[in-house]
Amino acid sequence: MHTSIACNLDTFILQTALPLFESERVQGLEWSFDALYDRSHVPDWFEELLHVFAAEGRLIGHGVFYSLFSGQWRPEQATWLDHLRRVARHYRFDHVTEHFGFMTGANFHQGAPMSVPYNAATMALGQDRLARISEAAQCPVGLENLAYAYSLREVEQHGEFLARLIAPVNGFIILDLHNLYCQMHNFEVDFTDIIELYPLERVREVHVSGGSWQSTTSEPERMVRRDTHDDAVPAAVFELLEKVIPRCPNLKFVVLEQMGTALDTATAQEQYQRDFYTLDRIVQNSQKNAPYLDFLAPANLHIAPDPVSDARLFEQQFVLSRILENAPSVTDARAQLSTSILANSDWRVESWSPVMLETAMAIAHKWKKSGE
Amino acid sequence: MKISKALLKTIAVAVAVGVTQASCTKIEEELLQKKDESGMGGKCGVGEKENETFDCPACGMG
Repeated sequence: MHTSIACNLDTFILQTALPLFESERVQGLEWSFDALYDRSHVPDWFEELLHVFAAEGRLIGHGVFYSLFSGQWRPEQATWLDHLRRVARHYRFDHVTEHFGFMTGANFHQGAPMSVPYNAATMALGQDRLARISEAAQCPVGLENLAYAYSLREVEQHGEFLARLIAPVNGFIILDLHNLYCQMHNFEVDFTDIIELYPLERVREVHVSGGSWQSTTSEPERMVRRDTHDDAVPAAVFELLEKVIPRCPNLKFVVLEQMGTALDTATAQEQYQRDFYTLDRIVQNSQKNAPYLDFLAPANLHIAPDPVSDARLFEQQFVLSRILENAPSVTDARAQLSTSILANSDWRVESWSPVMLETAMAIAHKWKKSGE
Repeated sequence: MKISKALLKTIAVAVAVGVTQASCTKIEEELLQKKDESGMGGKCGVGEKENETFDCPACGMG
């Protein structure tokens, strides 16, 4: 197991990580390779940093913008795959991951990842898209569990759906413990119950991060936990890490994530460094055998000539995005949903809790293109 | 992982002169207008169009 950090070309992250690099305690680096679309290359010194980790099999790629479950196959997704193909050849990732969900927003690189119905159509779509990542990356590929869920039913089915999704590529999952923490709090689920719902032998990477509490108008007495990556790691998440490590026999990377913008003070930077050393101590104190799964895709992985797409799903996603981004209130959003093409469908909008709908609206508003 | 002193020093210098940043954040628009003197580059989603200012929405609950 390698104590790792999510490190991008970000002033505050690098500033904060520098003492950790000097201490030689950072054993792995997770880089969001698709976060620099407007540049043709990274600075030489950052490239050298990436190669230091890649040379030891300790560089992992973490995509953000592929939008695995977009109903429509878009030129930007083909471009994304081409970009992945190039960087994976150049840097030699130990593995590559993406997020579950589809991106809200009308254009690529806009919006936030939201969940989709768990049905045969989305399964086929997701498996096709994931196979294309596998073919481009030429290394093990995986998906991260999503923090947001519309309903308890979705929380209960997420792990099993992920397991079936990654099966054709012999993939793995990132178990994001703060995402799990969000779901445990937001849906009042115990750790012992929720952890059993995930294919733990398929966990190759764990994410650890902090987040924030959001008040809601739907239930003023209740706070929603959000995965904003902008604060210290809660003690409860470290406790989850201690519980999870022994149950994940193929765990290889444990990654600390935090937003660079949240590391703009000496106090925040020192807290991040303390979190890193706490995480490192937990990893070092955990006795583990070597992983026994390699997660390499089968040689005969089938990829259809044309990407799978689903016009109805795309229309539903478009409508949902517009409602989340533009509805003036939760009440109005519910009214719009009830008369939209999402009503009485696999989206089960009728069962969405008001407080989580309000949270989805807050997320969509946050990541909506400014000025739109 | 052992990182050479020369590389660590280069990173330190780049960070010291950096005025903007590149990844996984939603940033203030005024930051984008500052000159990039560090080689840190622009950021994802920051194209030629005005107001393309955000980047990484993280994992779905951000």
